[in-house]
Amino acid sequence: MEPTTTPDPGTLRPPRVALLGRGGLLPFVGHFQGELSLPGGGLTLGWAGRVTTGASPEMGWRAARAVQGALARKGPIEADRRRALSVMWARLDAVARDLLGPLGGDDLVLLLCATDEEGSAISAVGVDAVFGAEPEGAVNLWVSPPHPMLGLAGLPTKRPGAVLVEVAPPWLIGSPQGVEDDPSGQPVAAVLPRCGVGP
Amino acid sequence: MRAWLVGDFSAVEPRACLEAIKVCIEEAIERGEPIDPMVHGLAHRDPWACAELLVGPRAIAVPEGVRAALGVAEILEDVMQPSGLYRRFTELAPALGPEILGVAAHRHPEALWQLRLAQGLEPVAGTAALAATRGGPRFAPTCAALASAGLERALVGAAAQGELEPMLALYRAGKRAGAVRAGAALLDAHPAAPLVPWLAAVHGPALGPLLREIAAALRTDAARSALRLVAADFVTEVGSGPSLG
Repeated sequence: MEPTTTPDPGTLRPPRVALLGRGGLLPFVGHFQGELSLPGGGLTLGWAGRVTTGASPEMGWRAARAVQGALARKGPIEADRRRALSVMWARLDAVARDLLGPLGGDDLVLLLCATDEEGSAISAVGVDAVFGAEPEGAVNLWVSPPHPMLGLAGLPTKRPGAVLVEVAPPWLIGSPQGVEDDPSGQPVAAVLPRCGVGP
Repeated sequence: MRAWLVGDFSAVEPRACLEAIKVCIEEAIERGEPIDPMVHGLAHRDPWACAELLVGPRAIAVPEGVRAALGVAEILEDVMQPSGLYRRFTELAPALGPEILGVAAHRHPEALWQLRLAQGLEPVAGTAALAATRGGPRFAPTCAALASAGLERALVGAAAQGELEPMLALYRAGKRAGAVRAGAALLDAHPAAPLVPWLAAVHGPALGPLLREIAAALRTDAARSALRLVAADFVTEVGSGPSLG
């Protein structure tokens, strides 16, 4: 019997996406996070990112809202996972750069994941590593450098490529460039608060 | 003796004539004359002798003596632990409690001993420390010290005066309920305060549950409207559930 290449839809769980904070007193300036899914299932999108490194909380908030709004306001996407990622990147083209802080979005960090019945497509800018975790498990390095998905921060000038997998870990945790925090081996429950994910 | 009255102790070794200096101070107090010049001069000439006369076991236990000693507290702290010094002041002149605390809070706003002292001297402990540091670089560390010490009421009071840091300090100290109360007090009194951006900076982007807790604690319509205006879209976007009401 040939090995199956399509996961059982009944076991599909769209990954949740998170991004490590900077640490310090204001670790989440300019952070944003979101999910979108089509009613009744189908494609699910998840993302986490940050913009305006070193800006004030007010400036970071305005910039994060601008990016968040661009990603989310037009709602879910009826497309396959690869096409959906492309649409999400294209939505960022509409963001006015002067809303994105002193660097005009050149410090954008974004981890995007689109999941459909075939599996997940993951794409990123400004991420040094991606960790995966089970809901009750430990965090493990999932994508490490060198890898085409890991690269420079900033609004991309061409659509970033995507990693396609049949089953992604339930949690995808991005480590932005410049963040020293290495969560490898730690319980996910201890790492998620460092991503601003919690009650 | 006349020279002592103006703080000139250059001709004597104060420790060798403590009793005479004590009598001189007591007589000046009886005459209603200011003793600050004498205490100031003595503190500079011999801090140990000054401490012996004003806060030691045989100190001149009158408010005038303590008030003068407060004027040279910085010097006396060189020869006594500040925690013991200010506690002793309160023993010698209980009626001067607020004044003593004011000096202690100004000089040591973040010190746990000072906050403990405040618990016996202030209706809302920590208020003096916050007042002494508000507007300056020591305000944030003082808020953090109060939050760690559990002095939430003073922090909520400071939040109601328009300060963000009390809420942030309580949040960072893991006092979520206190942070919610401080955030609500801030918004009720100052609806335009940038609460949401700062809260997002310490908590992270998934603000929905926390904002709903703050919304539930608000007392004014202006604050509810302001919070809804700033946060409602964002909360909906991240799929965090019901609206802010």
